[in-house]
Amino acid sequence: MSARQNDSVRLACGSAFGDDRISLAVDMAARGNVSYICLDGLAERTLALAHQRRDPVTGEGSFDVRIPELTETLLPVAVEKGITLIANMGAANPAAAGRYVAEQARNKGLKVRVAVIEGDDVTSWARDNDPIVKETGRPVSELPGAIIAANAYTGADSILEALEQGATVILGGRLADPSLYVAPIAYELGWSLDSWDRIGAATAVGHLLECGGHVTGGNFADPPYRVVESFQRLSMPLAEVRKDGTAVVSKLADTDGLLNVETCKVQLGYEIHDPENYLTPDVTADFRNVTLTQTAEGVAVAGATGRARPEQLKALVAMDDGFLAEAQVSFAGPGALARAQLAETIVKGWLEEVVAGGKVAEIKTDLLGINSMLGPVSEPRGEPWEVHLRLAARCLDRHTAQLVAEAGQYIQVCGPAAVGGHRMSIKPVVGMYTFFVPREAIKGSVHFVEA
Amino acid sequence: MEINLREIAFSRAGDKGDTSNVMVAPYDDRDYEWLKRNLTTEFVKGRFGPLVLGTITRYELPGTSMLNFVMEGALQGGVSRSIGVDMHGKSRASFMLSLMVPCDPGDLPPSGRGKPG
Repeated sequence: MSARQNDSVRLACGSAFGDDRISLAVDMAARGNVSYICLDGLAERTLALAHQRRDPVTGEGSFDVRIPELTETLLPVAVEKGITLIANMGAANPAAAGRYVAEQARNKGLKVRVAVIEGDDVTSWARDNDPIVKETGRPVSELPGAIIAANAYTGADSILEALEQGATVILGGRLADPSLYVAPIAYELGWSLDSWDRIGAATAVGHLLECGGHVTGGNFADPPYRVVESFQRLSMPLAEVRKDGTAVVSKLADTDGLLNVETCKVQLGYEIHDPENYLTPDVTADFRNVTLTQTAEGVAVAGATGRARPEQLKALVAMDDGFLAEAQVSFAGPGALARAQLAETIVKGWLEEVVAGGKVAEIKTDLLGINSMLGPVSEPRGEPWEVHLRLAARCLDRHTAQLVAEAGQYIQVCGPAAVGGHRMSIKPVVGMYTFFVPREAIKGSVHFVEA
Repeated sequence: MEINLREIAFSRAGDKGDTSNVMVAPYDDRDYEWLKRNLTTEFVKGRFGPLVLGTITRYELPGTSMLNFVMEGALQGGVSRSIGVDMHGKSRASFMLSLMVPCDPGDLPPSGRGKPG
C-alpha cells in the first residue's frame, strides 16, 4: 500500500494535554468534516506519572486515564464519520491501551483497525549506556534518586507506517506532539518524510494545532487589551492543509473563543527556542518566515520550511526526586501583610533545626498576593486586603517533608492573630532530565491488535 | 522617554525544562522595527535580573513580526522540580508587558500606540 495523492487534507486537534476535555473532540468529530483527529495527552511529566501508576499485579505501566471515555464517546462518532484517531495516549503502556480499545470496539460492534506503536521506552538503554544529561553535563547514573522511566520522543515514521497498513486508531507512547499531525498530512498529500520543506510546513501546522485551546482563545485574553467575548462554548482547532504546503487554521462554526492572527502568533512562538532550528524527531523546522493572514475561512499559514531531521532523538528521564511539602495559611484585613511576614519569620525559625538535619534540599516561603509568582522582581502596589503565606520545601524523605508541613500547620495556633485557611500537602517529586539517543537505539515497532 | 510594552505588544511564555521562552509581538506590525531597536536583550536581561540565572538569547521571526526571548536557568529547575508557585513561568509573559521600555524622544512607536511616560 502506498501514500495517497490528495489535493488537501482536513485534520484537527482532539486533546492537547492529559486533562483536556474529550467532549470537545466529540464535537469536532461530529461537525468538523475532518479525516483525522490527533490527541496528545503527555506533558513532560505526565508520562512519568503514568509509569508510576503501575499495576500492582502485572507491574505494567498505565495508559491515559481518559481512554475509557474516549472509547465510550469519541470512538463511535469517529467510526461513523470515517475519522482516524492518532494519539500518544498509550502513555506508559500503548499495548494495553490498544487491547482495551479493540475490545471495547468489538463489544460495541464498531469496526476499527487498532495499531500500537512502541519502542519509545529507553529506560534500559539509559541504564546500559549511561548517557550525559543535558542539564548537568554529567551521566544519568550521577543524578540523585532512582530512575522511574526514560522515554524518547519518536516521530512520524512509525505513524505513517501504521497508516499505510490501514490503521484507523493509532495508539503510541511518547510520540512527539507535532508528529501526530505530520504523519497524516504526509500520508494524504503524498509527501515523502524527507521532503524537508514540506515536513517543515506540516510541522508548523502541527505546532499550531497541538496545544488545542491555546490557538482558539485560551491563554490570550488580557482585557481591555485583548478581549475574548465568550469562553462559553469552546472549539478545538482544525486545519485544511493543501498540496502546495499552505494551510488554513480554523475552529468550528457556532462556537465562542477566538481564533485570529494574534492567537495564531502566540501559539507559533509558544515553546519554540531558535525559530530557525525548531527540532522535532521529523525535521529541523524553520519558522522565521511563516506568515499568518486572516481570510474568510480562517487564518492562512504559509512559509515554514525545513532541513534534515536531527541525527539524535531527545529523551527525558524521570527521577525520584524526594517529596514536596507545602503548607499555606491566610490573613485578611488591616495588617494582613505584617502578620503574614511575622508568620514567615516565625516558621523559618522553627524550621532551622529541621533544615540543619540535611534532608531539606530546597526550602522557600512565598507571600501569595505579594511576591509568589515573580519573586524578587515583584512590584506589589498598596496595602493588600488579603495575604497568604506559603511554605514549600523539597525534602529527601517523607518524614522530613512531614516535619516541614507540620510547622506550617502549627502557625495557625501558635503564630500571629487571626490565621485562617490552613492547608497542607505532601507529594512525590519527579525530576525530569534530558539526554539524547541515537536513532538506531529506538526499536520503533508497529503492531496491530486483532479485533 | 519610556513606553509601556503592554500598550503596544502582546506576549506568551512557555517552558521546556529549566528554559523559559517569552515571545513578544506588536499589535501593529509597523512597530516591529521599533521593538527590535528598543526591546534589547540587554534591557530584558537587566529587568528580569535574578529570575534568569543563565543567558538570554533574542530570536527574530520577521514573517510574523515576533521576538522570542529564550531564557536559560529561568524556572527554578523546571516544572517537575520547582518548588515555586508558577512552576511553568507563565507570569513571565505579564511581567514582560509590565516593562517600561526606554526610547529616544524622536523614536516613538510608528503606530502611534503607547503612552509615553
